[in-house]
Amino acid sequence: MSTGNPGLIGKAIRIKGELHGEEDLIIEGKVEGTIALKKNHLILERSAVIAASVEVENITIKGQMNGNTSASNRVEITADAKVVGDIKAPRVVMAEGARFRGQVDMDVKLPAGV
Amino acid sequence: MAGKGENGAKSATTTAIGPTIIIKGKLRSDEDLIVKGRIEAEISSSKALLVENSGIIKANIRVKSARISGVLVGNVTAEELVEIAPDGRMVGDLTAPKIIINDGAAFRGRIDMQNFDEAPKAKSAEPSAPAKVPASGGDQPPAAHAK
Amino acid sequence: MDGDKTATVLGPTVEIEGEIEGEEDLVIQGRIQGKIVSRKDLTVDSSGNVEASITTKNLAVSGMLVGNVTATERVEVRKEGKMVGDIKAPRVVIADGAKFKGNIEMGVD
Repeated sequence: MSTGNPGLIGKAIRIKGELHGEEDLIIEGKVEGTIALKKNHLILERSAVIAASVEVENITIKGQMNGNTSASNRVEITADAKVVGDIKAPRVVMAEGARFRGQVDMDVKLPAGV
Repeated sequence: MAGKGENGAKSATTTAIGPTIIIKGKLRSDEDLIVKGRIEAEISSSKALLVENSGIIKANIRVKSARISGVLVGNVTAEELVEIAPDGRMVGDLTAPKIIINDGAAFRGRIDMQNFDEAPKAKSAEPSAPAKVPASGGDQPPAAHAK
Repeated sequence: MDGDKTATVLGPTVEIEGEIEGEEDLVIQGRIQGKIVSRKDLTVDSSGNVEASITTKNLAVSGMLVGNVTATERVEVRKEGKMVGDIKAPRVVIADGAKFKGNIEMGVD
């Protein structure tokens, strides 16, 4: 549950290591390592360059990401994004123009006999 | 392949495969295909494929473009675009230059966009998005990062 | 069943190798090789080229058909049609000008 404004990691910030928290977060800079915001929304802005495995509730990827994402709710990959890695989430939205390479795993209920 | 001027086969036709039709084997086409029935046949088409809500395709397909509102189990290779509609469900690998997954769609498989390394079409003037992305999490410290 | 009007039309550039099964009218304008089983009406249009065994209710051939046909009602080979194969149906019409080669068996159980 977020308590007010989301946190912000600015364009000129570079983090290497484990990042975890309990509030929504916007990343404009570079993060390498792991990110865990299990109950929150993470936004990777267009300038963001992430090399990390990510565990969130919701994520919006507008920048570059290299790593696996696990979201308990929703993953959104926008038209400017460039993503390499696997995604596991119940809902994934990928816009036209997004660049992606990797595995996507949503729950797919197939009808009987398929 | 001969041009569109060839007699008989005008590329303006569309084939709609009705909900009670089941096709098994191999299907080739040079016209748009709308699938409302069940196809267990490898589809190879130079045009568009539309899988409607009632449509079920269980096979690999190779098309120009595809829009999936039904069920597709199989690998898809498209020359232009694949779109999974909000009610679409797909299991299989997707290889296409452009891919759209709508909110509500269900997908499981690998996605591979061939033009992955092309420069983005975004109008962003940001110099901080280099075309080269380190393949494996980068051992290089981002010291060369230009502001 | 609704939609006796709905027919699946397999257009002129569609080529199928395999089996087609359906419970709606089917019009073939392309090329089919294999087997067709329909509970409704089947039409092979003048551009159609079918090499298949056919089981259907009604069949009308204006194109080319090579294969045996079993129909529960009627088979018609129209004047532009060409057929090679056996026909088993209670009613058979071969129009003047049509080309046909094969056995015909009418009036059965």
